[in-house]
Amino acid sequence: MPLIILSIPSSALEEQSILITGVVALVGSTGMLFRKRSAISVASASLLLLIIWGKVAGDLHGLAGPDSALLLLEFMLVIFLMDASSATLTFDVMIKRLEGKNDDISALARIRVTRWVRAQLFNLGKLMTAAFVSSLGLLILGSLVSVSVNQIALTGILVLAAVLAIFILLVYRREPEQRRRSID
Amino acid sequence: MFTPKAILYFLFAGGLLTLAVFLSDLEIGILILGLASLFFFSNLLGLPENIDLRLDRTIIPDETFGDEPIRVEAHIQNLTNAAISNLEIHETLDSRITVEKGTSETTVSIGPSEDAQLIFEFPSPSRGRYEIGPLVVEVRDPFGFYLVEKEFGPETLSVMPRPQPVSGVRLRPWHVGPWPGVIRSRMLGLGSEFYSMREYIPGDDPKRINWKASARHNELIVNETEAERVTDVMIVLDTDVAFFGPTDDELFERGVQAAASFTRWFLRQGNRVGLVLQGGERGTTPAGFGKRHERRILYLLATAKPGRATLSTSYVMNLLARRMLPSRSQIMIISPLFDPEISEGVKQLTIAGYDTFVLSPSPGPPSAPRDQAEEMAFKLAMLERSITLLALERSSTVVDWPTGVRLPELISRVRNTRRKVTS
Repeated sequence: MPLIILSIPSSALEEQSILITGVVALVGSTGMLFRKRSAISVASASLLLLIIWGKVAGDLHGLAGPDSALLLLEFMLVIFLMDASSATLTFDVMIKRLEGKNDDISALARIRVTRWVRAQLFNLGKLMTAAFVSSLGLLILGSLVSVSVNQIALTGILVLAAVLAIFILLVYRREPEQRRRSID
Repeated sequence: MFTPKAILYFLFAGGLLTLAVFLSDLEIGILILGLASLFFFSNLLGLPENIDLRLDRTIIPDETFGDEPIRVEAHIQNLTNAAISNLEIHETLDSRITVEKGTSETTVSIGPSEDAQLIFEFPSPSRGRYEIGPLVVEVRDPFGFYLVEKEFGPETLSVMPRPQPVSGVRLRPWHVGPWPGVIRSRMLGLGSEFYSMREYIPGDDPKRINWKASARHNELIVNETEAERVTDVMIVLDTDVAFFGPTDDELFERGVQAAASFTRWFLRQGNRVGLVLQGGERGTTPAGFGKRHERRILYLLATAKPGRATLSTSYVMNLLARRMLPSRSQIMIISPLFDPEISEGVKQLTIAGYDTFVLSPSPGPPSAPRDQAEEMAFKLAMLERSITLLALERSSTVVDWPTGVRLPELISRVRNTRRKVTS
């Protein structure tokens, strides 16, 4: 996490990189220590915003930004860590509920929750890796293709096509359905 | 459906796209690509397209008298041909239930055609009917972008009042049914009680010959017995026990306990028994017989709650007795007798030929009266109740049931009808 903040140009953070790193680290650590989901979310969201701000500030002030692949890696790593900590917190809550119960039923419940957290962390890692690799692949592919025609109409069509493609990717296989289905 | 988290990411992606276009910076667009890929893979690999689950829930036991722990086993079978890695199961429970073993809420991951188990145990709660469920299953992809929620209907746990053994209550209604029972019918027939004597007729059982009377009359005389039959009984439980806050529940539970005990006792003697709950919530079970009918009445008693009556007990009793019972049957009233009008109702029933038996749980004195006025109020209320008891005594059998006396003990003292019985 400190590496992510420190990789942002310090002039974009008004030369306060160390202070900001300290504050974000403190909020995140407090959240993990006291099992406060909101504090963890705030720390993760501020990290995401700092990454974006670093890029935007770089564009506005003409500062040298991080490499595109590194930017993508940092961005996705923050999302992964946020979800991993959320899974760990849920696991802690479930285990806490079984605290002081030493019977067979509770022992089985503990085993089930432990299996769940393992599977959850593995799946998070798997999906994140797949998403990162495919994005990186597309990034490399994109860098090989260049559009020489600089016309506003073409740019507009390309943006529209990109939005459409993203929309399809976002809602793939997910059709609107009712919130809750009751089964008797 | 997409979760609020997914919507936040959509908005975030939208913001990034705007920024990318505004700043003409494709590198910001790369981040959208990352997010979109994450959604794509989450949808593709994180969650099956159709989720098909089946619940098999068992409550052991689902009917209880409240003296054993209750175990709930919910098996959620994954009928989808793919693994579901992030499943949150939540069994909704009544606030009076405290889970002691296991948990009613868990997160699991299940493979294709496997089942997830949610097992928990809790001590039997107090008398009542409880809903176990609905069971809500929330299926999400690992990132929680998409949610499929399924709800499985609840099942019922009935904690019924345990009937106590009561014996010795002798009912004498005028109406008796055609089947043999234990109610003396004021008619000749098979029975154990002496009724009259007559001359011997060839074919009579020699065991029935009364030798002393035969010697006196110089001819053979046989004893005749009174036929014992079944009858129809309606138990009226007065649930309007509002009297003195702290003692209300105890009074009410004693009434429920007595109703359950008498139901079992009368049904085991072969009688037809019905129940009327009269109070804030009314309920009736028409007269019937058999073990299944006993369960029906105990179910109704399990749901009984104390409450202020909107209609007078006297009116309800008279109305329902005529509708639900043959004339001149037996009516048993279980009431703390806080409504003085009840004596008038009982009088009307007696005039109509019904035989009435009143069991009145008596409230104990307040353990720590706040002031002298409260003590005086209690004494006045008890005085009024005594007057009602005296009025009832003229037309029915009245049993005053003080606190601390067990029902079987009290009932064993009841021998003759039409007499007030006190401890």
